[in-house]
Amino acid sequence: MKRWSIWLLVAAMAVMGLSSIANAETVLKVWAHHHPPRVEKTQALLDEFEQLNPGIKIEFTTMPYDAYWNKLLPSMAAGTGPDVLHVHGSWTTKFVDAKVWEPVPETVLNEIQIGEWYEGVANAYKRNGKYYGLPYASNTWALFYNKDLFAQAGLDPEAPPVTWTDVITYGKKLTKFDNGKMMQSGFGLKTKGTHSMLDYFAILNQMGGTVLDENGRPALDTPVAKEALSFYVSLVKEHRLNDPDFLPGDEGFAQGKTAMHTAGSWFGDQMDLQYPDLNYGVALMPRVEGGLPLTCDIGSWGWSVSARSKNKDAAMRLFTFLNTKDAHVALFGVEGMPARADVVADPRIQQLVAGKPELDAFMQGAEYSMFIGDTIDWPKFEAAITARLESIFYDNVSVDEAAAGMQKDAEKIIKR
Amino acid sequence: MCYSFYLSFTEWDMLSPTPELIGLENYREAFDDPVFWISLKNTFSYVLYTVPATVILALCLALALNQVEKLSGLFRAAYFMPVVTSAVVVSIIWKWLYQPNLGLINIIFGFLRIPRMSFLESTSQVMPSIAAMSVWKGVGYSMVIFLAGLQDIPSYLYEAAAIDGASGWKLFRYITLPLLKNTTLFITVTSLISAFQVFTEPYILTKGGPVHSSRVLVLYIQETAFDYLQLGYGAAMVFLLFLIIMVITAIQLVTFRSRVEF
Repeated sequence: MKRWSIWLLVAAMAVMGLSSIANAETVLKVWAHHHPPRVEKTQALLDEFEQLNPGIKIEFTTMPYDAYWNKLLPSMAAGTGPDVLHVHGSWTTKFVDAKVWEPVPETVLNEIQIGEWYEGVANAYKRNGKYYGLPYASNTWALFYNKDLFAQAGLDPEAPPVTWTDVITYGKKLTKFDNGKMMQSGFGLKTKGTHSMLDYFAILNQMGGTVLDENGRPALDTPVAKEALSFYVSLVKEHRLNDPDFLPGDEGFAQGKTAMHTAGSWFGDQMDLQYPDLNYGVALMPRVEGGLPLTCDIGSWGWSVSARSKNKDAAMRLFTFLNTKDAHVALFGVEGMPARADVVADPRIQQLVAGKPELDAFMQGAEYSMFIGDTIDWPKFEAAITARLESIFYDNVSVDEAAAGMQKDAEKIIKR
Repeated sequence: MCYSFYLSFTEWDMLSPTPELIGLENYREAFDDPVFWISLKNTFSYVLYTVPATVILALCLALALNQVEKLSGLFRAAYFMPVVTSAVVVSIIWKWLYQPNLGLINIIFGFLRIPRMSFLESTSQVMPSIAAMSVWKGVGYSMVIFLAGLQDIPSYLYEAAAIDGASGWKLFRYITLPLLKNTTLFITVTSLISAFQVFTEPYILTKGGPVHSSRVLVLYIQETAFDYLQLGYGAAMVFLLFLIIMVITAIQLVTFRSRVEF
């Protein structure tokens, strides 16, 4: 090759190299699981951030919920994961122990006014005094009830039950049998699945018990725990408001065959989207006589910055942006109630909520949501407690034996 | 596979940079873990319910189909269709069929005066129910292989035997069955290996419930590794399953191999 052509080549390469450095953008990868309402709103927020921050480009990827956990883990392990990720408060223990989430610096906390967060809701993301992410929603639990079935049974559709005694009374009127076979469930008490644990723990708290004692040790075979468990079981075994054979509550309620069902705020969104003709109302969680409508929370959805990110500064800036009051207002209505008190009080939110009385129950419920166990490794714990609960309904295990089993499993898992 | 074997001697949650060597601890944990033993028992139940049923049913269907001349293609397609249908889709549909109060199966049972069953909601009925669905889904595959095996048997053997006065059951017992030995062995071994690894059906139908009654080993391994983030323990169980399958397959091959007759 002629000498001048070699120099031309080198010069061209130098120019290209220099120009690419000049145009160098930081690319932030953001991952979330796919929930259409939220994805749309998130995209809008990310676009706004890009406009305010030229030089930072965002790659937003979403995937189905089941795949999310399974894709997130290997990618974070391999270092190819996202910089900012959508996370759940129940994952905190695992991820913080493995040092995969970046602690939020004081400066950021001050900028976003951390004091505005509901303490119980934010605590899911807190360990050893540091926040490792923050929720934008609080997952409150409430009582869904079918207004049409209420009217059919001669009950006032605008007067949902307040206490558990009411639930039993109304429930008996709402339960229908045909030749000994249950055709309609008055109250879809959960006889299986991990949500059964949440309802049982809610009742346990309402009766004055706790899942963990002051020393963080499980307290699942104390007299009050057994009392709560007996009561839980009695709704099916004694009062026959539901059958272990019958449709699970989510499906039963959607099909109009379960008259009352407890679920989180996401359930309302799902019903509105997939079963718009369902005429339902939402009320606070039933309570014991003279008690509070306490519910159990193991965490809610939020954002976190990856400790493995190669663009931590930019990622933290995005995290800050996503946690401002305005960003939370923009994200409202997709996955539960606000996590910030100032968002609840914001006139834009007040206006949105004004025409929807059913949202009221969730808003109020946020105050009664009890976050339990920041030391608990949830997946295994949930599976073990749920198995013990199920064994009462499907294996004829006694309440005492099941409670003892729960205690034994809990001790083993928490010791890990 | 080698990496998985190495992992079985470690403790690793996938998020920490390196697995931590812990020797035989995972294997000890498996022996002490009641859920591991329940899962193993459930898997064995599943194998015992599905493999003999599949082999016998497939053989009967193949024998019947072998006699059919008209529309034989249609019948073969009909029996083979479940095989090529997605296991996930089949499971979802059967989940509804099995619903005790609203599902079609109990409704039909009602008409036939058969007592109402709990199927997937009963700790004792759940494994046979899942097995029944699997047999329905998989029998077409084994049937087609048996058909091929049957058609390999030279017809002059039957003719010769008929001349000697043999018929029906004797033909089957002394010609068909022995000459199908290799085919039968192949189907039994492959069905067995695949049955030990069952996952999709229990995962979709029951997620291992009620309680642990349909938790098969591969399902428990998946939960342990990817939900509880105990990859080392999961890998140890994988290796144990591999050993079991290998031993059983070896026993089968050694016992039945060298008996091909002419």
